[in-house]
Amino acid sequence: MLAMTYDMKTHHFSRREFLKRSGLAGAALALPTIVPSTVFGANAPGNRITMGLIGMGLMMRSHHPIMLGRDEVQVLAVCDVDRSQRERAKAQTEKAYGAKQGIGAYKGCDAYNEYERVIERDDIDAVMVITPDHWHAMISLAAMKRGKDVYVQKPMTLTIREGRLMSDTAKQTGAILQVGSQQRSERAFRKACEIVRNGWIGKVHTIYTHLGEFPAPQTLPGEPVPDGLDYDRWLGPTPWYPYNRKRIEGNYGGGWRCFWDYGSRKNGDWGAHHFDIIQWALGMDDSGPVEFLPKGFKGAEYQSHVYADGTKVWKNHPVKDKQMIQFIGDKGEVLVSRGDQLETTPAGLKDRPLAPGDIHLYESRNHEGNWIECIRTRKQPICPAEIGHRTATVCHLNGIAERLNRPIKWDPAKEEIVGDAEASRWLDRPRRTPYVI
Amino acid sequence: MMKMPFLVFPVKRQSLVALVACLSFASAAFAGVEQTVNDLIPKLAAEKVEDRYAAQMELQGIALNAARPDAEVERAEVAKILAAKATDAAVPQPARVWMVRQLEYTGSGESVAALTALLAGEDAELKECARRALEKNPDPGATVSLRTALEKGGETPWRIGLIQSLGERGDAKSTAIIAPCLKSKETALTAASALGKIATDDAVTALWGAYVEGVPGAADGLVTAGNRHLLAGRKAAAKDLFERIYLTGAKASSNRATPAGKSPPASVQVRSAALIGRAAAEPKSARTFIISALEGGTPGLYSAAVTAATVAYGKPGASAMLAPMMVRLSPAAKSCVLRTLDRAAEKRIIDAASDPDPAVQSDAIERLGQVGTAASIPLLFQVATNGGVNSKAAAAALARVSGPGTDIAISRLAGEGDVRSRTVAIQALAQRNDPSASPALLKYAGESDPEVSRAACAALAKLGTDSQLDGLIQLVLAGKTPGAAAALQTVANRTADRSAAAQKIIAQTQSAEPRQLAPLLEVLALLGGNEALAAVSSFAGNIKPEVKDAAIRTLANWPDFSAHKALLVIVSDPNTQRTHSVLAIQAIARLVQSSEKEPAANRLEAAQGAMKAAGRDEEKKLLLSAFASVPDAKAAEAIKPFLNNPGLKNEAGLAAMALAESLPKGNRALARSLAQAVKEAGVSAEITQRADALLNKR
Repeated sequence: MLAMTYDMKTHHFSRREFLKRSGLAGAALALPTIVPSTVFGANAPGNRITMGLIGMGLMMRSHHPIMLGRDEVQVLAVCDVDRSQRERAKAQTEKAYGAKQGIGAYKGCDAYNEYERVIERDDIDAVMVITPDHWHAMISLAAMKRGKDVYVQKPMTLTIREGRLMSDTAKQTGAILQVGSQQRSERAFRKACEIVRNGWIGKVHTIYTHLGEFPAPQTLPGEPVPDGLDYDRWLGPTPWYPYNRKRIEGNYGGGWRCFWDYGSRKNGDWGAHHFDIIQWALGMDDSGPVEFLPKGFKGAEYQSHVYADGTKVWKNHPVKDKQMIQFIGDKGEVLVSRGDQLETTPAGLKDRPLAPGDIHLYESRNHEGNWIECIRTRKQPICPAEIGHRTATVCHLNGIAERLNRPIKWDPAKEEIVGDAEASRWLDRPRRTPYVI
Repeated sequence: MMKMPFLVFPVKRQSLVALVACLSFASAAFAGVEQTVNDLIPKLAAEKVEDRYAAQMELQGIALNAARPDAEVERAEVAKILAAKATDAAVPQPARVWMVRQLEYTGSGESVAALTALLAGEDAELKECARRALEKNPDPGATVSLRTALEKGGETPWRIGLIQSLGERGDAKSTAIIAPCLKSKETALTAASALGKIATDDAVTALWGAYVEGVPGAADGLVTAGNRHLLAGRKAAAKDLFERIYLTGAKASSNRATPAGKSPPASVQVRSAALIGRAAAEPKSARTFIISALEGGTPGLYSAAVTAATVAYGKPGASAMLAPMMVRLSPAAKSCVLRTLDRAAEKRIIDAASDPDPAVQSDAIERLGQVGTAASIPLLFQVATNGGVNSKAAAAALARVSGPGTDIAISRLAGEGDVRSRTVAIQALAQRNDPSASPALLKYAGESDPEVSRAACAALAKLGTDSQLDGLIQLVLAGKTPGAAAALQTVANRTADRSAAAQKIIAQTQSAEPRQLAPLLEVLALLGGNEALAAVSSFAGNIKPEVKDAAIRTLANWPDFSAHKALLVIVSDPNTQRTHSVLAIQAIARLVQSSEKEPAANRLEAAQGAMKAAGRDEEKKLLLSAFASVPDAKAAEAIKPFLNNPGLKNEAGLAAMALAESLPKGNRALARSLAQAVKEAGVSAEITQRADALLNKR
């Protein structure tokens, strides 16, 4: 598939460098039309970004077809601990490429149980890590160290220490890592953040956001492990429990997301979207709140966190007009939701264009597309590791305060919990052997 | 969760009497905790696994609450109780596992002995839980226990876990035990990772040995060690280590001599990390490495070099250091450097925009959009107007450059030069959202050149305010500016005072030529209101055919129900042309259907009036649909007669059923009577089926 072996080994002229320059050259030169333009263009087989997809469950079902539909991408491998999932994904991939190329029996996608098999392949440029949260860091770190670019689902990590490690590794290896907090690539959320960042609603003091609630976790009885499922690998670094279908199922209403062992429940699920937008709007992408207060603390009806300037974010407080996030400033309000919904007070703010001197936020119109583009250009994507880490930190600290049922004070510069040694132990979780970072 | 009196126990009392009293009270309270734990044990191991959850949460609540700040006595006592139960063979295994898991986050010195005993036990799950709990335990004794366990050996996965734990704890004394594990394929990666975290001289020496032998993970371990040095403030050690990794990892073909010529080349990721780490450790002497990386033949290091410069000197310092190097760099290196250059390096960025390499040009232009000032305008302007591949990017950059003099410079360009240049400048003014440009734009909009005029009108549509309304009306009246009407519509639609805007237009309509009247009437429709409606209605009776036509078409597009009366006048007039009548009936049908908030009587009156005047079945069909949208008995009565009209009975049947099905529950009798009428009319099998379905509903 890939004829850049020499380059990969010597790094004198890397495959990605070739991709970048060939893409630009393709844009600059007018080629003769005797041969199809794709033969020499950015999407020619040798120029495509080769990809491995890891975790073929519920969330990948939206990413997978998108990647198969992109002419500049070639999926070479799929990976899942469930044989039926990976075989289905392999068949889907080969069918799609067969149809695209007009050949009936395309063979060129491998299916693996172990992610290491994907990462060790030199002919793969990038991986998408769309697993449950507890696998994100381990796979992404291994991939970056092996020279791969990474798209990792949100929240980026299971623990805060994993996030620091991932961000530092991305910086040190130069990997292009995009976190799947895709609301950053939606116009309405960007505009809402620009309105807040430029001070058009004055000093923001209160923010409401609705995340919803998962059902309580359960203690589940053991069931026979289905044939073809590598259950030990599904658990990975998390504590051992007997297999039960409800524990591992992908389900937007719960499934594995209900369990603290595999994430931070709603804090990490929808929080990774809405807290992320709040961080962006407040200009806190390299910092974060300073205090986290659980529901019930001093009679509070809702969980909250507070930034150093006093701005308070309330989780699950009713939001006006059932929107997703409401920013309240001393001169106005912003309401924003998915589906390009944006309302402002004063009303004209939502249509007010930015002037040259205003803060212009990073503009991306397609989250996966932005990542692919950045793989070519080697520019930073819209949601790189440091941003993903800082957002995940907000998610996890909310989760820690909720579990400990006490306020947590946080120093975002030192990334330390202040004055609570036992709470500090939650900054990382010990991993089950032999799954180590 | 159980309420415990000691949760509010004042542990720092000065009074001796109070202290004694408290201790007695605490002793009694801890006895209470132990009893609670004893009570929970059977529930933690309940046969029905689902029933264990509540007990687990209660125990977790007790443990976590006891481990709150300033409650060390309480934490230790609770941990002691849990540790004792966890090692008690009489306690069922699921309960013991859950207790050890609480100790993972709450245990300290008091738990070490119990956890150590479990570490040596037979129960694999308890063993593993104990290892994890010891890994997190702050007491130094935990390290000794883990080290001793590793010395005893065991299955490979078990040893991997222990190596990981000791690495996490940074246990220097484990180096000698872990280092041999570098030689085993199964344990090498974990050992390298752990030794990197331990980061003592011995650990680093072991990692170097492994690196030379090509052990997987050894290079990553060395980077980890360097990072640990940095984190601990051991900058000299970090500098030496990173420098060695960077140089040793270079390929043999590199022109730089390497201290360990036999070592295999490190991956570009490892060298990148080493370069950045080296810069962080000693910024002063990092310059040479950064320069050599940027000038070298390894593109993968260019980005690292730029990051290293930023880490070492901060963003302004990196920009100042890297900018002068630009000229001698390869295109790929230039592109990396460009991303970090700031406004102080604008001149260098401008130069790069003329680089022979198209990628460098493109990156330079993009960067000018982010940091450029008035100084960049001539270059951006030239690129934006040359029609090349970067024209669009340059135009976008023109919209972003900021600082003193930028608006003035672009405004000047909009007023002078050739058509293409002026058009680009006018478009930039629009993108820059500068309302002060509007008076000049109005002037340009009136110019004879169609391109300049079109661009200015489009810009006014974006920037124009009420102040430009009069001017735009005059342009429309003059009839020489094709884009003026659209601009007027957009600007008028934005106005806060719609009535005032309408009055301005109405005042000009009397003197307008018929050809220019139509766009003004369209704007009035957009503005709405009684005055605008009256003005347009008055033109509907004008003797000039073009004027009359424009007014009727405007009324036919009126956005709200208020136009229905004027439309009824038109359809009722026997002298109205067929085309106009059809337009008016269609408009009435549309307004009746879309005006749900209007009283039903008004809507029905309009529809009935139109139905009387409708000559063709096509319009009658539309009006039958309109009737169906009014949930009222009179609408039903209006539809029924058509059920027996051969040409309209199908539409009447559909309208009747749509009305019947949408009627609220209180109108059940009416709905049934309509359905019955439809059934009796025998319109079609499909519609009769719908009628039957409704009639059969209870």
